[in-house]
Amino acid sequence: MPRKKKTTGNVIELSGVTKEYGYDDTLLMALNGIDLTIERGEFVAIMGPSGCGKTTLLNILGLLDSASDGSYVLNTQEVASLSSRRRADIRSKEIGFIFQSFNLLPRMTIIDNVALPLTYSNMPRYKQHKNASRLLKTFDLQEREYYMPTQLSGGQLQRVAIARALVNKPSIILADEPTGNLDSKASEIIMNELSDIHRRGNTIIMVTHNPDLTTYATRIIHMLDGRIARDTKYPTPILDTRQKRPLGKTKKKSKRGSA
Amino acid sequence: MTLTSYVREGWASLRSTRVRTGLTTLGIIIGVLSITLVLALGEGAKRTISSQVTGLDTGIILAKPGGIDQRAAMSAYNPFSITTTSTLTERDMKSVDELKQTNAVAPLMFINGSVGFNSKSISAPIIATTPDFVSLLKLKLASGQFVSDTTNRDTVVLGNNAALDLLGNDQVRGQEVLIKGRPHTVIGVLKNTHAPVNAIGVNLDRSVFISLDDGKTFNQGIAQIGQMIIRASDPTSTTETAAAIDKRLLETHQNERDFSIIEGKDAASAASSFYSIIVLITAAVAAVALIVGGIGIMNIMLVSVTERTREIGVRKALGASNSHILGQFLVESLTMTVVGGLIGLIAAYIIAFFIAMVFSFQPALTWEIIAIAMGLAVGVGVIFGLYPAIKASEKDPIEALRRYE
Repeated sequence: MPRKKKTTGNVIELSGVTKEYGYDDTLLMALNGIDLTIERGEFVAIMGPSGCGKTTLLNILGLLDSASDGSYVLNTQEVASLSSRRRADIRSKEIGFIFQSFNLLPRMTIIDNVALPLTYSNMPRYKQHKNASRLLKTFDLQEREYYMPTQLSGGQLQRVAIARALVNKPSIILADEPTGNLDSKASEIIMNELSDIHRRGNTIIMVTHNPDLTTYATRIIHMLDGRIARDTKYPTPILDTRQKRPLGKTKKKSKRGSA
Repeated sequence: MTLTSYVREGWASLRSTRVRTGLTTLGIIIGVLSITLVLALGEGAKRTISSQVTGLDTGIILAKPGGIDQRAAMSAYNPFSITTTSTLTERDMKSVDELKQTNAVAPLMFINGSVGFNSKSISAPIIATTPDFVSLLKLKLASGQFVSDTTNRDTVVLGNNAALDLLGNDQVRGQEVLIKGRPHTVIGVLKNTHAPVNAIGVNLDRSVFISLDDGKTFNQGIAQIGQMIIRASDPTSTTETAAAIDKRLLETHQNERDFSIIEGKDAASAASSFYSIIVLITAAVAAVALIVGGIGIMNIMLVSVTERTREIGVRKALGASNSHILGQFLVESLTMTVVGGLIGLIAAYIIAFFIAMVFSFQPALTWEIIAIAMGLAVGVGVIFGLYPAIKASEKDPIEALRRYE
């Protein structure tokens, strides 16, 4: 049942989402009543201190985790109470993940890594490779198709990972500290790629510690203790109203681990 | 996800840990090799037996003393047992011979005793019988003639091995040997039958043969018939003939079923079913090797699941369902057992070939054995691969992704 992806409207509707860990006196409310609506085409940056529930929220949005309570509507479909098989199916069709540590499979070639999400959607192999190859070309990595991940630099690896996140044409792209393991130069390239993807109409939700990165976003959500503390929308990304800094002359940013 | 992509990925992942995959597969190779060889040797032995008993199945019927189950006939009556007295007599032999459905009867009277030559003495089976014995069992003489109505009473025919053991060669006509202390002249030697196990239950190559009349003199003139070999006039109606013999003997035995009538082909099945049991027991022992191999697979797959926790997390995040992960790991263990099974079969074939060359004994590697061995290998792959695969599929993607981050 192929669902037509709408060009406008809400992609994500969360209402009253909570997530609890432990019980009794060890009870921890990782998320405490999150109401959140994200429209198609938004570039959302989620900020907040460690332990505020950013990653938990991202995991729930990505259907890796399920909420203890509340409802989650993804693309007009209630997904909070689906079987694990259906959730896997939705992950493979609707969601693209970008991780801090790239998470490419070291045994596979670059093109196989990019095509990996498609292997779970019964697409013929030649088509998988065609799609993966097309995407790698847009990231200027077509000559690296048959390299192994160990032969690429961190920035290149993260571009491969972005290509992998895009290969199944997802409704939302979830990025958890996408530049956390990269130097400032590579970070800038990656963020430019992401904002480029955003300009083409993709919905991106990014978790980050780095305030500089929020300049690429159209909406910044600050979280604190499992709640949304502040939610600011910008009609256009801040970056577009600012002059771009020249490459290579940026201040070194601290490389910190994720929450 | 198609099976080919499972296999392709499984193969790639096994190749990345070659040494360990190789060693694990070796366990399966050895298991399949031993099972295949044991079954092939057993099947070969079974074929050897039945090919030697085939000579019996065209119209040959055996009559044995004791009313016993036919399937147990091979082992239940020991012709040389001193505790049993035969229930078959010379009179029975004559009454069977008189039936128009039969055209030849040879009695076998088994005599306990030693056979001596000079100072040497062997304890060969002594069989007293009649001339038809040779034609009924299709025996051939290496030299001389068999005991007959025209030959002297104190004559003896030697089985080939008996002649070699006692006299050193098989051209020994005219030599005198002592049977139970009484001198007998050797008038012939049989050709080697190469059939230590046969429907008669006696190794003919190691036996010595005297006439029934001579045999009776060792038993106060009474024939103790341990077995009768009977030929039906019409080989196509062996079963009817066997029934007629049965009926006649029942009459003469006052309806006491103290004998059994066995058709030649059943005699063969008794022998081969006896062997089947031995082969099965040995194969079961060999199967232990395969089980040990399977434990090795389970062990290495559990290590692999732990090592690849992160990969499992990534795959799940990218859309793999639990059954995808289960399939992936199951295919890996199956790949090891199938490849190991094939190599084991090839190795078994090569070894069987050399056994056939060196020992003039033909192991039979039939399709059934190949199917059994491969089936067991696949079964081991599934049984011992399932637990690690289930463990892999049940990994929580969040936990799995958090590892080593």
